[in-house]
Amino acid sequence: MAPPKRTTMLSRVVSKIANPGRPMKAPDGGKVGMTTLGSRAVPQVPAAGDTISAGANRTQTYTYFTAITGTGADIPILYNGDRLWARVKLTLETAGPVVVGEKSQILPVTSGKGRQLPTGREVEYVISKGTKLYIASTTVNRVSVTIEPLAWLEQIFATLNRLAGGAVALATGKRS
Amino acid sequence: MTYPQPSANEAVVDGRDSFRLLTQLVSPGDIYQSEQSGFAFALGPQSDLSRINVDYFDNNVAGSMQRVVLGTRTPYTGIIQARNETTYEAATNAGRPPVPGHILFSPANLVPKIVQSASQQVFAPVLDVIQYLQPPSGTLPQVRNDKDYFFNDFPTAGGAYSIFLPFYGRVFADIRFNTSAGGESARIRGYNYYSSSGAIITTLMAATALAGGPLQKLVRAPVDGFFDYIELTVSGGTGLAIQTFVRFSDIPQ
Repeated sequence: MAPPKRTTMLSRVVSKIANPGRPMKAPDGGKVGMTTLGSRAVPQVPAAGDTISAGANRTQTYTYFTAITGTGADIPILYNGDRLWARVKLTLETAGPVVVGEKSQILPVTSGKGRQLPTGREVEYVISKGTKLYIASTTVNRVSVTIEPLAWLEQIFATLNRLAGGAVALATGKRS
Repeated sequence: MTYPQPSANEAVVDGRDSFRLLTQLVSPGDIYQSEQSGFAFALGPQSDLSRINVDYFDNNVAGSMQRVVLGTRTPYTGIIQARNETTYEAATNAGRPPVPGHILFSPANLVPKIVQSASQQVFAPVLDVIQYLQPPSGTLPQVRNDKDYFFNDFPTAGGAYSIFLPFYGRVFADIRFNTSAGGESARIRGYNYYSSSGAIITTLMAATALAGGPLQKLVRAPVDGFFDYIELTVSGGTGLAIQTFVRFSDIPQ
């Protein structure tokens, strides 16, 4: 009769680590189990949906009147970056000067920190989530604003994401 | 200076593409301001003044204030930005507050003190300037509108009565007196001011008896000269109604 296979404490611990998704018992003497969270260095973002809510799909259009922005005052936010992707179109209808930029400090208007809007010509920005658009001026001006969604981009991204996840699952035999 | 000052910002909020500053001057030292930048500036159609100063912020000149003068045939095209966030350099007087870098409008013509009395009426000149908030699509105005005055009577019961009319830069005047009977006389003089209360006076028509019916005098700049003001004086004291028609024009006739 063959002697029973001997396993060490170390080999039992290693076999547990091979399946990090399963909760591990606390080592002797400890009461808090290890977490099942993956790498905490990767920021968590909501997965792109393949169905678009009505709110994210709407178009906004209005006329924005700039106020004289004083030194040290908070720079107004024209677009707060709440959509995954958006197309923002701006047309300055008066003489300016009006500057826009992604930084919260874009004054003075001639400093180059922001981009000066030309009068009578449409300027278009495609902005991803989280990027705010600030606007400042030293005069009262009319700026026509149109914010359009890029819904198809979001749907395509979600579909590609799903396909990629399915391909990985097929290759590894594991669900992601 | 009229209060409250006309605001260029209202033109922006109202959706207009230009700001028109149209105001009667109150004193020789009137200065008006605009907080708006402009693509072009021109004399307005109803301006009595033939020249208007436009002062703006420019770091290239001493005091940071540069000036361009608008005329009847010399509008200004080119963007001028109102630097509301900065100030013109203070004068040497330390007690003088700094002036914000707005665009400033003021008369370039010498304007007299406006003094009304029982024997005279002075018409204050009108300042009319157009500031374009968008690039102008056509040519800018080159001449002012003809200016017409009609007076139904001169109150000469107490003696002579004078009316002073602004004539800055005009090249033609048609002045007509009309009475039903004789007894009154009319005189026309031209004024060129060298100070707010002093002028060189030129007689364009000496005192002429009004014999009932029309009396006409044409003033042409190439012959008679340029004047800041035209004075019409009627005297006689008969109390007869004297109708007077006046037309000033920028177009030679």
